[in-house]
Amino acid sequence: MAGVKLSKRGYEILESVMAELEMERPEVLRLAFAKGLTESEVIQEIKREHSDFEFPTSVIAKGDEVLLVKHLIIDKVQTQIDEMKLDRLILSCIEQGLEIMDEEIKQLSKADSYLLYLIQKHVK
Amino acid sequence: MIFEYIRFKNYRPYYGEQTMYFRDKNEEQSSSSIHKKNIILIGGLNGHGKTSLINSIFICFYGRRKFKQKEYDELMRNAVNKKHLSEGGKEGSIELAFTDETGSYAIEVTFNHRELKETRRVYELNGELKKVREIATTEQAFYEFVDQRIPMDVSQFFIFDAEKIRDLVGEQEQSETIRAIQRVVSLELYNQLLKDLDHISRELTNDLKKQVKDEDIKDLFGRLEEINEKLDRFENDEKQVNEQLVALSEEELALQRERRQMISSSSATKQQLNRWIGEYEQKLKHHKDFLKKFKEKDLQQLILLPAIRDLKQKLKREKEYLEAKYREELQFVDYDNFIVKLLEVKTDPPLTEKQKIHLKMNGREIWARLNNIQRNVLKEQVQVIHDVSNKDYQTLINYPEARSRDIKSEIEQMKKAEEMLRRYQSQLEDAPDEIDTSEIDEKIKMCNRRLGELRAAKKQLYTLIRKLRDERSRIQSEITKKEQEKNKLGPIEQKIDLTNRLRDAIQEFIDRVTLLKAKQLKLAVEAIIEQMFRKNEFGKVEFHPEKFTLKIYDQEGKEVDLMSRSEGEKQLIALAMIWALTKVSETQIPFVIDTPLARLDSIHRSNLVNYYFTKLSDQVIILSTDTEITQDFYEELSPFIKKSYLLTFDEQEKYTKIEEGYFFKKVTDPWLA
Repeated sequence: MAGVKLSKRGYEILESVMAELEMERPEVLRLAFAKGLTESEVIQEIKREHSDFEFPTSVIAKGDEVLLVKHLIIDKVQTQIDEMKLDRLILSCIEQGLEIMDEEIKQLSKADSYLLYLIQKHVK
Repeated sequence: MIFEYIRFKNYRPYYGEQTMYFRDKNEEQSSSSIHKKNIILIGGLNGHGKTSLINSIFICFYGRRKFKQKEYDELMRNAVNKKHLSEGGKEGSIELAFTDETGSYAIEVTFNHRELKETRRVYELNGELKKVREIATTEQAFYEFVDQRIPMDVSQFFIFDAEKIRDLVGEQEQSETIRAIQRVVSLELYNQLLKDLDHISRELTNDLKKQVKDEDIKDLFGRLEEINEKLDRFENDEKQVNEQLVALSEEELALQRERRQMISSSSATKQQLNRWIGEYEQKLKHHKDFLKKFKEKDLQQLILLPAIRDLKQKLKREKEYLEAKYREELQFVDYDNFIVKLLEVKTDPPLTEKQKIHLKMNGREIWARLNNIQRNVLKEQVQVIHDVSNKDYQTLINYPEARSRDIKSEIEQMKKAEEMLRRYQSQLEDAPDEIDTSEIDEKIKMCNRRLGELRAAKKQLYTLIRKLRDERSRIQSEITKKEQEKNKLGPIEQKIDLTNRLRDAIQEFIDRVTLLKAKQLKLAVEAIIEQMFRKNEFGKVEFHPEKFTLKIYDQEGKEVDLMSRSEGEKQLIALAMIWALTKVSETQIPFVIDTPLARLDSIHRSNLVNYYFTKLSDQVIILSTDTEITQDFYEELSPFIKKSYLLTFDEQEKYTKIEEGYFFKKVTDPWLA
């Protein structure tokens, strides 16, 4: 798993979500990936301006998680993929997840807790 | 005791097996002689085996104890008959049989020439003098058995060389002789009793030293009383301390209660608020930690959970599809092989590709129908996109799913804790000052200090009391032990007194018995001398009651110097002493006398035979040479002879033969003639 660079836009959202959830960067990236994978219609690469923030995709998955992430993505894109494409698709998931999170936060009032929102939405 | 027989097997000059019987039971019963036949006469020239015979008896009874080391070694070296050795033999033996009131026995001593070793066996004999069984005995036990019958130092009076016995006259003052004489007259036994009593007395005196003195016990009781006093004092102290402790503890408890009431009567104090704040801070931290962990790990997994479950389902479906497809394909293997071969067949005109596919597809339908192949296994077409190995499939199917926690209530509790914390913090700002409990605190402090002191004192007392109790039980057990010892030893003084009195009584008894025995010996010696010597030769006889020595006076009352008397006279005096001893001791032991008559004149010789040999014992074995006993003398002796033997050394055969008879022909008993 190689290093990937987040878009500038993505980086901005990442910073804001970190503040909103009081969480560290890697954890927010993992959340964003989960959101992107489960909530995007399709996963597709979007051409955006890269930021300076580069991170290894191993932040998202290590060990058995890599296998899981790979097949979750294959399931999502309904086609077989190679390693190179996997990294790019992970990044796409994150970017899309961050967008979704940004949208969600925007819908909340100042009094709302995004964490509680996430819990209510995802924890059954 | 009576000797039954002696049997030699290749021992010294006796070649082969030769037996000398000393009595014949059958003959004894049928004998009608008025004479007591108690003499066994054994004749033999010098060097023909007489000494070997006497030594054989000593060897059987006493073994090497009776001999000097050198003497016995020499004896061992020459024990086996030379003729037998030259024939390749290596063992020689002696067997001596005897009967006493306890039964008949045979002692067998075997000599091994090569190993210079002797083996001793003791057998019990039956009425026919046949060996019944071997008596299992140790050497020591055997010697005790013999010594009970003929003690070794006494044997010199029963088995002796008459030539040498006269030395007894000169040696009669020697302590060994005196002891032997005393032994014969049983005085030794009494002296032993005296020694035993002395030993007992000495042991009792030692016990006296060990004996527990009443003062010791008194001292111990004194010490016990001291300890008890101390214990009473300390226990009293302890009781007081305990009472004080109880009182003080109650007081302290009351003070504490009062203090608590004081505090609780006022509103929450700063102190309490601080404590509560602390508690809620702790709770909040706990909730926050939980939430942090949830955010870091579980949240992402929970978001992904539907996707993961979906993936698992799809993987299962794909696998099922692939397996079903594989199973179906397996059923068309034969058809596929067939159709491929069929379509390879050239036709005219040739089939187009379309026709071929058409044929293939239709043929498949027909094949399925004909072979009853269920083709509806694959209900739907599944697109296989997950190319996974079996291992990966298992990993993914078994991937753990995040558990949904009651995170909402956790957050609620956290919020509540935050709220409470805020409330208490604002209260803290407005809280009144602490209630002044310093006065009561001081009291409690004092109380606690005093309690501490009392507890220390109690501990100290406890240690002291425990030590004293230990000491007390130690002394008590010591007293018990000493009293037990005292009881066990009993009245020692009384025992010593009794022993001493018994000892005195025994001493007196011995003194009197000694006197009596001396008197008896004197009378016996007098009688014998009177019979054996010529009339008026000697006057009175005196026997020293302690030394057991003989003094003889002449007619004028002058002591006769025994040493200056002739050898023959000395011999007679010695024999007189032996006979006297035999009479006084009342023992029944066979006499074995070697060459008894050599130095005697005819009168003394006649007296010796008539008054001595015939009366001495039930069995008198006389060994003599041909010159000692002349024809007429032999005739005089013959009515008393039980058996006679002649030891003859065969110059040609080179060994001694034992033959019945004597140098002269036996004269028939005149009374029976």
